[in-house]
Amino acid sequence: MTDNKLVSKDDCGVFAVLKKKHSSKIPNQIAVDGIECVRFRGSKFGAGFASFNIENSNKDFLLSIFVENENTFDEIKTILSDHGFTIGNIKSQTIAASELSLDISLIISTDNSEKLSQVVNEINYKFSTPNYRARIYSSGNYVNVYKDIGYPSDVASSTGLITSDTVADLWIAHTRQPTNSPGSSAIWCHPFSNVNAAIVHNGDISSFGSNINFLNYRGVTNLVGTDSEVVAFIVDYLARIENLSMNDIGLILSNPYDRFLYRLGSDKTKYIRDLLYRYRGAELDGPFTIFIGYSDGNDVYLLAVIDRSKFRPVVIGEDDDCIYMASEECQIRMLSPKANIWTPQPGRFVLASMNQGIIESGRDSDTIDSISSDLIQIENSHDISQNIIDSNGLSSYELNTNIKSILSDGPKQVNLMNVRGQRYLGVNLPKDTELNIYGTPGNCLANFNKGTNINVYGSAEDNVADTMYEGKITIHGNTRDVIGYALQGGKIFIRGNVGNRAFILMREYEESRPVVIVGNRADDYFGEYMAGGLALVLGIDSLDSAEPEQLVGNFLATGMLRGLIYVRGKVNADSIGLKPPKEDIINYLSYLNYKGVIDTDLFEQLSSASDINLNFLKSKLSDDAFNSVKKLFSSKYSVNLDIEYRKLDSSDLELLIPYLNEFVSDFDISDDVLNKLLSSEYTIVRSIDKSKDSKTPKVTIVEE
Amino acid sequence: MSTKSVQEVTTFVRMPKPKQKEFWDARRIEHLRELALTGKAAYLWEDHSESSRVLDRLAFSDIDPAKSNENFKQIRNDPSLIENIDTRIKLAYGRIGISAPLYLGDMSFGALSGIPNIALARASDATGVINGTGEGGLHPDVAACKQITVQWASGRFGVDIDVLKTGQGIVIKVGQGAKPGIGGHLPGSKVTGPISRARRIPVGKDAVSPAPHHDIYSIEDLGQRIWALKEATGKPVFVKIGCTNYAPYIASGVAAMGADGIIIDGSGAGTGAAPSVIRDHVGLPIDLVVSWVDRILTQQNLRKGFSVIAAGAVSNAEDTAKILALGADCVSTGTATLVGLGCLMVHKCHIGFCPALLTNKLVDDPTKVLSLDKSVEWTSQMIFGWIEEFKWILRELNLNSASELVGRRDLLRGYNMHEETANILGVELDHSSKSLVGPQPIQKQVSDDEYWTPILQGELRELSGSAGRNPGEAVITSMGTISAPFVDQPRSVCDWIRSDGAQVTRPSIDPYREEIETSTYLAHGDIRLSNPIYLGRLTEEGSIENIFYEVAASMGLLFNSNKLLDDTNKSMNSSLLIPHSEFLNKDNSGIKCITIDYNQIEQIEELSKNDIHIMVRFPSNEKTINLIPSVIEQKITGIIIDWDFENNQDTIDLAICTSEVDNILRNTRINTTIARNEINLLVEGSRVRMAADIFKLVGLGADAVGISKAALLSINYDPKKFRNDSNESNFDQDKTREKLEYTILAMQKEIKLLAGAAGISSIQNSLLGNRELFRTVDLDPLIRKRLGIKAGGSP
Repeated sequence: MTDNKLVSKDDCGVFAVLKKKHSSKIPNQIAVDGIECVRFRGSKFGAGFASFNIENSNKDFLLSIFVENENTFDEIKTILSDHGFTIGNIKSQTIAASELSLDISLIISTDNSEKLSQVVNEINYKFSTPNYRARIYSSGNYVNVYKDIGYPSDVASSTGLITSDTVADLWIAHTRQPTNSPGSSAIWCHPFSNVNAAIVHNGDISSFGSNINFLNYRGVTNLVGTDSEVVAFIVDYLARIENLSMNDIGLILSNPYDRFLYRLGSDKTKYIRDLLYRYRGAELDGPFTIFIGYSDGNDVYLLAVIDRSKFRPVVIGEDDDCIYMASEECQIRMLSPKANIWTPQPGRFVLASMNQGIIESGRDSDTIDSISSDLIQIENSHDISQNIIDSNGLSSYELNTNIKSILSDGPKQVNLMNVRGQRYLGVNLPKDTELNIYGTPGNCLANFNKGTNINVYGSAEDNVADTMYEGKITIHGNTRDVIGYALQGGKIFIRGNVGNRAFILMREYEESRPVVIVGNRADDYFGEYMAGGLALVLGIDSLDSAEPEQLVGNFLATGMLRGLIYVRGKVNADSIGLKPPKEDIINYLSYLNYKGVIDTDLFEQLSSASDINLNFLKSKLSDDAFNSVKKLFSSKYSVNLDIEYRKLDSSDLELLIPYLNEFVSDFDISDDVLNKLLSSEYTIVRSIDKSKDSKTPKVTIVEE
Repeated sequence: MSTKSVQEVTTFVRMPKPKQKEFWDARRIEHLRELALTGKAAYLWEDHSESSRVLDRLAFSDIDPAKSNENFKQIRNDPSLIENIDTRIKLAYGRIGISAPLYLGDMSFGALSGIPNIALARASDATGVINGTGEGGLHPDVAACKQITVQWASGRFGVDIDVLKTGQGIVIKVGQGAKPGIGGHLPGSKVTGPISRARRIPVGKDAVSPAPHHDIYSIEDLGQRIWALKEATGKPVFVKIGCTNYAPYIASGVAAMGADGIIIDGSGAGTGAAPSVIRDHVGLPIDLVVSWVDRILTQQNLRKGFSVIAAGAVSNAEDTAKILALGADCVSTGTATLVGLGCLMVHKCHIGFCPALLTNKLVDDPTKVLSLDKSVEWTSQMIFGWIEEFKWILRELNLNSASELVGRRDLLRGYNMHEETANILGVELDHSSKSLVGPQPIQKQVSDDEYWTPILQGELRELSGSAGRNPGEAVITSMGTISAPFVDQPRSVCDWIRSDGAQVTRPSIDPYREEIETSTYLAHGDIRLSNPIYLGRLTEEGSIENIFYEVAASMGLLFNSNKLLDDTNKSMNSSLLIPHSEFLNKDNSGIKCITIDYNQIEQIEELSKNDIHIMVRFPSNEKTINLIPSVIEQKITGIIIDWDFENNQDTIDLAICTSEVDNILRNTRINTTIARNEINLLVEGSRVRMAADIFKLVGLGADAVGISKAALLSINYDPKKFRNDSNESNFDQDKTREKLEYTILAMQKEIKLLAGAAGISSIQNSLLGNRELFRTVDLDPLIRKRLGIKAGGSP
């Protein structure tokens, strides 16, 4: 058991870059720049890098060790020699970490990697109690880990990485924000590595106790006790001992929702269920974005696993030479301004390899192209000769101070150039002002906005327009997750896509009614808990597609109380709201069949339907049978939704046309497109509840 | 405005006789009422001889509480003795000054009915302490006050940039002590016109805040929100969390992220509405945790200037002094202020019926209101009295100021607690006895009558709809605390186990709107249960057996039956477990799974020739733990531990047996495979009470948990009616079956609530054997180690 071991809870920024087969090896500076760009996500409490090089010898294993002093290191050497290992080159240096400040690398040449891994495990166990005296933190032949206390650039210096001219097929990198663990010790820093697997993690694994069990009872007992570390050991175990493919490992770790597996067909469903049952305890739960590097000597793999709700940020990028994975878009844009960038769907994994490129994109295939966008630089498109701030190199604080200082002198407009992830822009600006942003504004853009207009020429990141009351935002690219959280008024127009949980808790009150239009598509939980306002998803980029993809992800409008959602095209009813698992419903119907309440024909007709929802059951079942099975669906917090699929009628048009005209004019979209949009069919979702309270109450004075 | 006359209430309502053991009992209530009426110190030390709360088993080493109280009576009329004692403290790196370490905790306009909100804010201005105004916007009269903080919560109700700029600081509410991992909840019945306007939400609709902030799934996300609020307002920002497994780490993360203070709300805290399964089983008491919060912050050089505000059942100046000595700068109290305004613990806040007019539904034209003037006076006097008692206590400790007491764990001694617990608190253990110090709860076997308390039975009936409320829903409760082991006597080992509530480092999950998978596969996927629940063996016979049989089939469960009930119904029989003797020669009946007792395992070889899953039944005792290795090599699918099987004085608690057997299965291999992968573990018996027991037993290693007596109680089982030979004309079998179905659905919801609170989205993949989710509260370390659970409060 892990009694009395400290559990570390890390949150962080992550980055990975993998070269393609034909391109040259990636220099260390790229890895440092890619993670240093989001140093504000981390802290001085640690950072790290792992490099993979496939043509390394298949028998020279590099052991990297943090150790308290030379004497202890001698003890370790003795143990290795006693087991018959020949010790090769030794490199030693002092790192910043105050405990175990000696960082030693040595080469062990062996054909018996299995035994080496056992001895490493033994050594780590021996020197871990009662206090850590040493720790072998990397032990593969294709991987090299550099980690220490400090920000990424500090660590690149202290570990000697930056001066080493190291190049690699794959880099993964991390900047760390420990919720807690000893900030003074480098053993808690990422990457975590075992043999030829190395991982960096942003998030918190709630299944940690189960994962520890999975490893402990398979002979891996010696862990430093962080939720992130178990992932490295699980990956190594599944790949090296169980010989699973990276694809299967991606499936197991990302632990897809059972309820949606049926969409993959019965063979695949059975395959995945068997896999998940067999490796119970290896599945991960809780929020995570994990980048995993692995090499079997034939190829180098980069695997990103994302939790089923996509609680942590992640973007994937690809250009001619490399594949990138990062916490924030600004990291990739800085290195490759024209990269194709997309975000994976929740609960999916992304798999790429050096030889094969992108193997699994993390999105349904044909939505990839439409989700990526070139960086939009329309710097000269209109008059921005005045009030320009070059944001390059400015911190969020400096940039915001500059903006406020210009606005306090009287101008009503400020133009920001070269924005690279700066946060809190457009927060608490005076009413009736305008902000033009060129580049990639960081998280929390336009929060609490009460009357500023903001135009983004590029893509925005997470949490745009939280609790906004007034004003208008136009975004020419995409936005990531949680845009318009508790939006209470104003307009938000996005030309491209929105990520997860867009416009949740959006609400209207009296005259204040927010309007949002998404030009292309949205991921899961669109309009969750929505309590008012108007939301449209148009799918402009797939207007002419013969077999259009559904434009929203799962759990559309779950818990919706009021308001109106239009999604162009058909949305599978199974993607709307939350229902009991299909098996539970079929099971109940089967019981009713055996009781003779419904006949076998009807049972078979119902249970083979692609979506068994309440309206469908009501239309097919007798009152008695319906009332009986209804209880599976009931919850005192659930609201029935009214879902239609049809062309727009005159009252829809009257409502929508003014906003759509404004939208097409803002983004310079042709009349032809507008006409196609107006003549398309839409899935229209609203709450059935039309009780008295859907009107705003009259204002009366509070009695005291 | 209404023209009819409005009655102003200016007196307290007389206390009714309590129906159960309450933390807020008559003594605590009368004490605070006395302070409210007099504004003067009443006494210094409470009599804890009946209380088993950890805090009540602490005393200051140089003081005998009884003698000290006597002494106080002699000198209380000489104010000069305390006039130089300084209770003022600074919060938020010195940016907020208050007259005493007292924060009046975060109760919203909506949960409270307006007058109490104004009274707390005005009394804070009058006395110089500070009032957190809670989620849901500001009453205009509250907004006019100075000594307030405003709250930023996951529902964003009633906040905009102007509200955020009001008051001394902003509190980001991540969680609360009564329901960590569950969002704020204002029932629709209380969303009347005035509340609708303050919160900008429709009248009559439940105002449910999401369980997590959907912009805060991690500590760096929290940092981002802190700095967005600071960028917008320039004000100090506090973070409020429920007190759960990782509270000390979260505190250090919160400090490192740039917040100015943390409010840690322990279990036992009040609430206007919370699922009772959460209130009674999730989170840790503040007294167990605050010491390590202080120590970790200090170790990391994050303590100076950063404010630690401790909350959760803080009931008087004595509690304040002990919690400061344990390491907090300030205490927060909500319930106590309501008690000072006349609250009498009827636990009906969520319904909007409050005899003291504190939490009643706020309407535009009430007939009866609490007097505002009187309310301000009561609250102010209560605070003055509290401060005066606190000064006398400081004098007793030979201290001149409140800040000198912070972190003085050396002044405290632990009594009647395990050494492990004293170490967690950072205090020395004293084995001598001291008057007025509470006892240690002990594990003992209790009788059935004592085990199935009236409250428990009432809640079970509520699940099925037998009690007339919403069938199939989680039980909702409000205010106060009755949980074991702090208030009530623990009745089983599970009562010492507290589950985690996800705070900051990961989001909790709202089971009403998001997917939490409860389905459980057994026998390599051959058997699917909709829930980790099955129906355990009955001693009763008759139509009740048929009801269990049908519900197992309709709800996708198993029923461990004594016999084959209908050998023609192949499909329904796939939900049956029957004894092997009943199965012989009936292999065409659809039965998939049989049981065999542990002392008949020599027959397994023969039975396994049939295409059938075999589960071996064991009693819950030490012998079973020793016997398990011998059956592992047999061709079996599972092991059932049945508390009722061979029940005698050797029977041990199911939690211990479950955990030990799970461990053995994990530590043993069948060929190269781990035995636990091949063998399912089912646990059942008449001691399994409710969803929380099921959840904890799965966390300790059970694949599924069988209920029997709990199911019978939930449907009001009456053996006379259910006998086959009785006159059944007045007995509606279908209705009873429906009730049992509702019980299962309600338990499923409660299990989902517990899982969601802990940030778990899959029972079988993430809860099974996940002991890291649990912590114990001063449980005997020998038992704790057998469970493999860490001690609560330890880092």
